[in-house]
Amino acid sequence: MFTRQTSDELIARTHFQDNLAVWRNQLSNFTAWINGSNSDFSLPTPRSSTLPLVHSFLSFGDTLDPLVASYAPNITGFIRGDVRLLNITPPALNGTAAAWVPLANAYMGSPNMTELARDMGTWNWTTSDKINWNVVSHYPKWTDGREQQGDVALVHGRVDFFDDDADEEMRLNFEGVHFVSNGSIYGFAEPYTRSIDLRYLPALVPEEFRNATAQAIVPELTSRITKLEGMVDAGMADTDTGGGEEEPLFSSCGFNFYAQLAPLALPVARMAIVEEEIQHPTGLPVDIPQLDFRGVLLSRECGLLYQMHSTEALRSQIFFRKVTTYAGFAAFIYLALLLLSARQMDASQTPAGLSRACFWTFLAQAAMDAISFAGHITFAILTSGRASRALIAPAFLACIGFAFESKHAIQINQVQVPEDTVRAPATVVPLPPATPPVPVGAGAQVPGVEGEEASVEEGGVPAQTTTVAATVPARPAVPAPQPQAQLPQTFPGLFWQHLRTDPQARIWLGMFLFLTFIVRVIVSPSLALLFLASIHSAVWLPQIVRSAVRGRTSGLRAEYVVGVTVCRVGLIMYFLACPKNILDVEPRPWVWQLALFISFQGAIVLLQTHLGPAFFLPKRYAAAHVYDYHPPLPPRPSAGDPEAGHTDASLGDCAICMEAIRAEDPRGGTASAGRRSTSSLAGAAAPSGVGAGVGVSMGLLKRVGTRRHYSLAPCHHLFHTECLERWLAIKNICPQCRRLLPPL
Amino acid sequence: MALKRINKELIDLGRDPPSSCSAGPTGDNMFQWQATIMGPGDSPYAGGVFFLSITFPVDYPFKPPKVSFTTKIYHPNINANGSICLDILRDQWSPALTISKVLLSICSMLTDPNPDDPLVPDIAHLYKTDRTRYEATAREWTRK
Repeated sequence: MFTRQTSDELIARTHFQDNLAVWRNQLSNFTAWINGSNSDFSLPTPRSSTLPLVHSFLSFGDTLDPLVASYAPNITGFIRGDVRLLNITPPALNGTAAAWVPLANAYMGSPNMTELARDMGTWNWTTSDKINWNVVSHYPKWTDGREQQGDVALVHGRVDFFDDDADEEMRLNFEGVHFVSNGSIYGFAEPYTRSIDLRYLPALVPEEFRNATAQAIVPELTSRITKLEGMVDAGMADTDTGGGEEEPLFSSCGFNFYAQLAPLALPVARMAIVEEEIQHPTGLPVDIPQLDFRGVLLSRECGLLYQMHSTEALRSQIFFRKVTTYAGFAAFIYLALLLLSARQMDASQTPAGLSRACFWTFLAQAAMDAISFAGHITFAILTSGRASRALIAPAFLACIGFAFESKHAIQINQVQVPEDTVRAPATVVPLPPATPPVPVGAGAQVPGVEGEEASVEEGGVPAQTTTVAATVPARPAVPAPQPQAQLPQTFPGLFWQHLRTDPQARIWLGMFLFLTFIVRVIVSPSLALLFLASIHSAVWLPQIVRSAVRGRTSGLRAEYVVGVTVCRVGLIMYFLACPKNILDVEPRPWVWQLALFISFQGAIVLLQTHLGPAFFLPKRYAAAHVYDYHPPLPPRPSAGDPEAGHTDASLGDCAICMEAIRAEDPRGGTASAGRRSTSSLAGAAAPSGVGAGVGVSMGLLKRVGTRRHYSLAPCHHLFHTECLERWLAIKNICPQCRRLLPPL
Repeated sequence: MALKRINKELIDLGRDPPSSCSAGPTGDNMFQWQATIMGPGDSPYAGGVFFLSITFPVDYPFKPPKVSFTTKIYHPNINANGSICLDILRDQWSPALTISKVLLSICSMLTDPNPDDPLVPDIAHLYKTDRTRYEATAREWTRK
């Protein structure tokens, strides 16, 4: 690798060496020019109209009284601002009567309009009303690392123009000088294809600063040359200096950049303390002053003047602090979510509990956490600086949360997969032995099940034959495979048929769509936001639907529902409603509706627990096909029960505890059963037409209570409710015939 | 509940004892039983009397009882420790099953081993390939 140099590397190397030679030449010319000796370099005479024109939009600051006010000495950070475009080409100025018009005319002279139009390129200058100015400020450094402290700081960075309509941005490189004592900044902003020649900076500044500027540029150029030399010697092919970034070149307009800091009401000494605290935080309680800028971007080539106003500066150090604060906030939220999930999963670990929760709710949460993990860890790795490392904490917690939730989702799915198969037996009319059918539900007997049932129902008591075959209860009857339907002739028909019958095909198609979608989401930020919003709005929705359809409450704890709603909404609100979030996402007005929607869903989930799973639906839609475990059963005549020892009210033995089941609770359990039933009243009572549990009368409570101590499974096997409940918590099959049972 | 149900099973066993097997508690502890199975007549275990130990879990009948042979037996689904590979004693357990049903299942397993889900692969292999030698070995072990 080290000995074999490709031709590309060689070219890059030569390119660097050429650059180096040019730079050295420039530097020597420049120093010669400063020293007043003969040189090839000469500073172009600045246009006399430039500064007056700038002055009409921007007043440069004076030197302040150091005891009263000061300018911020370090402007490293991100400055955002709105800009106003003024077209200063002579045709556009015709008929405009502002004070600056003559100055602009003088500045522009008579430009070549075709050239001007060519330079302006394809960028839509009129719609760009925002710029971002990322700037790093430092004092000129000599090669030995010594800083040339003084009035002049060098600033470099970039200026980004935004076109909101086209969702595009244009980047300009920026180099300039910052006069600390009066807070003025002068610089060049040029397209990235052109390298900025620092030597021309003195031409930009007012006469009195020219020397100081030139003096500051010499060490900077020297240290840049040294840096380049070092790179060439090390054989590094840094493509950055070649400007090889693949970005569309919107325009070749170069700008002169003028800006002025607003003075701050802080004495210089105090300012130094504040600055020190910002750079090296010690926990000193300082008010960090807000930087305020006014600026003008002026381009003679393109006849454009941008006036920068209502700027908002974010100091890098403060930004990093903000990132750390955010990381703490996010870590706290994820920790809370993790704890809530852990407690909830602990509570609904049993199959009975799992069958009540909704798969999609947990899947949506897992997806959110996966996205969040990816986002946080990417930022933590990609952005340099200590601050970003704090993001590892929320990323890690989100990762664990993802693992928890996906595991829980899988568990739920495993428990709920047989639901569709259980549907058929669940709709069987509960036929109490030796009684006429009770008109509950509207299902029909499933053919093929009857025969088996008849043998089991013999004598009313579950058949306890001693044959070997019966000792291992029969497996649920597997429906005979349907005779193959005639294959559709058309391709879509065939495709659909295949998709319906082959689970693998479904998986592959799903995977294909999913991946396509994910790639799409990643490349388009607005789609990503939409995706995030839709996934957030889907947190409780499937759960509500599931609860209503199945006629069972979610089984989620109130603390979980409230906590998750608050945490999820809190996070998304931070990014989409807080105007100064770390990702710099514009506040979206719809996020309030989303938050309201999610909270509303959470409230419904909670209300479902208390008012019944379908309380918001009209009675006739409410949980029509929920199986009722407690149909009224008349006591069997004692004569028909040869197994002796049973009182008149006995309905047979419970196969689980082997005790008799009585129509009336022998333990006088009306009260206790009543208490029990209130918790799951809706689930038990809704099917019998009681519907929502609003205004439940005591009489109803009693009736429900007395009927609840026995449970008739859809396969006509009778158990004590208590026994069956305990068994269903372990497995949701009938103890006697192993048929899948609907939730109790 | 567990104790009540175990007592009930014991009463039922006394009232209606299954042929060829018996079971009962070993001492005062109702959760620890001993059972015997007579080798089924149509199997190589005929004439043998096999002892089993039964331990009921505290949450019986929701969890299966632990049943194992204390007598050595040559069988593809029973290993040298006496552990039995029977689905109803593991994941196919149902609370409607009783000890008498379990013992009957074990009886039928002695007659019809399940070599496709063996606990001792060697015996299962022998059972599948050389039935006569398997039967001879089983008979020999039973005699001991």
